[in-house]
Amino acid sequence: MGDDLLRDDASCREAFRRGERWAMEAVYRSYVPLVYTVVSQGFGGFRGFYDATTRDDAVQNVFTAAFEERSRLAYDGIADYTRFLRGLAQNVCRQMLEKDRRFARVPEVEASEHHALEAELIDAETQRICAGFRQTLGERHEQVVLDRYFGDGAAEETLAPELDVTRYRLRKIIASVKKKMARYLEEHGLA
Amino acid sequence: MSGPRAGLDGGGAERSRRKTGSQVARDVQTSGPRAGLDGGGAPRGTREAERLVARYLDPTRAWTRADDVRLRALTRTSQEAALVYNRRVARHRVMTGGSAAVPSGFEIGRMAGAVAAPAHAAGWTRWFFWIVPAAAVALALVMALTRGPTAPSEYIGARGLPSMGIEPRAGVGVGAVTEDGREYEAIFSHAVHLDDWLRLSFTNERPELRHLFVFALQPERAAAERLVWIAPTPDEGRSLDIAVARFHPLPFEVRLASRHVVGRVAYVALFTEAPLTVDTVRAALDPSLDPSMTATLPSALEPLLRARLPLSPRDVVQVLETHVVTGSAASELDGPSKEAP
Repeated sequence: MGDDLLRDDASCREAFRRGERWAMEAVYRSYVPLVYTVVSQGFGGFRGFYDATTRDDAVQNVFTAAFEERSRLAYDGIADYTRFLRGLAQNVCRQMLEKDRRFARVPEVEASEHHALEAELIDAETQRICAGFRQTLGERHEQVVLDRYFGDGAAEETLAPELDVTRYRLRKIIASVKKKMARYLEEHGLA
Repeated sequence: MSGPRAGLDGGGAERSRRKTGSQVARDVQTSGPRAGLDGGGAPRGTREAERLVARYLDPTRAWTRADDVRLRALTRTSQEAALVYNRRVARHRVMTGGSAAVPSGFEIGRMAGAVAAPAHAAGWTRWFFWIVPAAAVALALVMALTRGPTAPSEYIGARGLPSMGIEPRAGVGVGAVTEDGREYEAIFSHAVHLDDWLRLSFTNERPELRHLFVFALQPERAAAERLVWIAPTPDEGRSLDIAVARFHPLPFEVRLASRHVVGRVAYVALFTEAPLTVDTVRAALDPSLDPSMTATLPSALEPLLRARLPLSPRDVVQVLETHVVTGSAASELDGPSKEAP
């Protein structure tokens, strides 16, 4: 299979056109790197959205537009879907930028540099603490669950056989890691 | 590809694009009602953001399309909610071994599931159905009281129910929105708050009126400061082009504190066949022509504008008066305090 799921996989393409959920999720996972590149690196004179909130919002807007029936049926299955989606993503970004520009009628007093600099320092410290969480996981399978389930987004049905545990047992491990995350943040004053 | 993270933008690229404080401030400003730094002033929006982000990152709890729509809407309209989101997801991403700038595989799963789910009555839809009727009622009331002059009808027929109150109308609706996105009507409530955002909409049922000019007058200010441009702004130069529409929002909001001061304010909307320029309106309202003129509101304003501006008899002049008050309406919208007497 090539790197263009919808172009190369006819069954997925047909299911996608019918709006079947599994196909849309597969499409999302397959093309989210492309969309994320567009919203974070930009195109033309646009250098990408700056913060995580706006990027994630843009990604969701792009896929919401791509999953509308009209858009699903508009893709012919012959040309590259990556090209189709890139064009759609650029349109969504333009719409978001246009919407933002309209709010810029009123000049306001700019915030001090101090606030942003302080935010950066807090960020760096928090990052250091958060990166240390992995080392605190000692129970069996916990680090793998952190990497594969939380990091890679592996599904339970994929991960359970990998670890040779039941899905019930896997859910227990996931819940345990989640609980440890919360406790770790609390212990470091980050809750 | 080893996982959803593969191929995504790396943290280094994000770092190189990090902006200076003033650049960040400009970004915040152009994000509309989200503008304003975290002053701890919107606890309700922040609490809801905390609750939603906690659910978003919790694998033991369901994440629906409505949750996702609500969270994105909240982060779009509230700077505090955006900060909560950015802070929480960044920690989650680093803890799960990734870059703070890139969603974890777990997040991708949440986002994919939400967008791929069938669209039922999502959160924004419920919000939309609540706001629109409220705005419609407010605008209908405003227009019922401020009907512009219309051309004499050539229709000859029996008077009766079929013709009652259905002549084409044109008018603006004036509302405001709090920092956390809650909207309120501004004319019949007799107040807009300095810390909130002015939000305008219009209805135009007359195709010949293709231009709209909106400005405000604050009669209690010094003569040179009474006129407040809303749309167009001086750099835009001429009336906005409009079409036939009902309850159509104007695509911008204005931070009241940036242009208004506490006191009476009249919003003037000019629906015209030909566009008006900023210079024409400025000249018509020049306080040196009649120092008391712009201090007289609102009854004297319409005949004066009709006399001084190149308006046709069919053009509509609408004057809506309210008061600018301090603070935000957020505390009033929260309801009465529950403190013990």
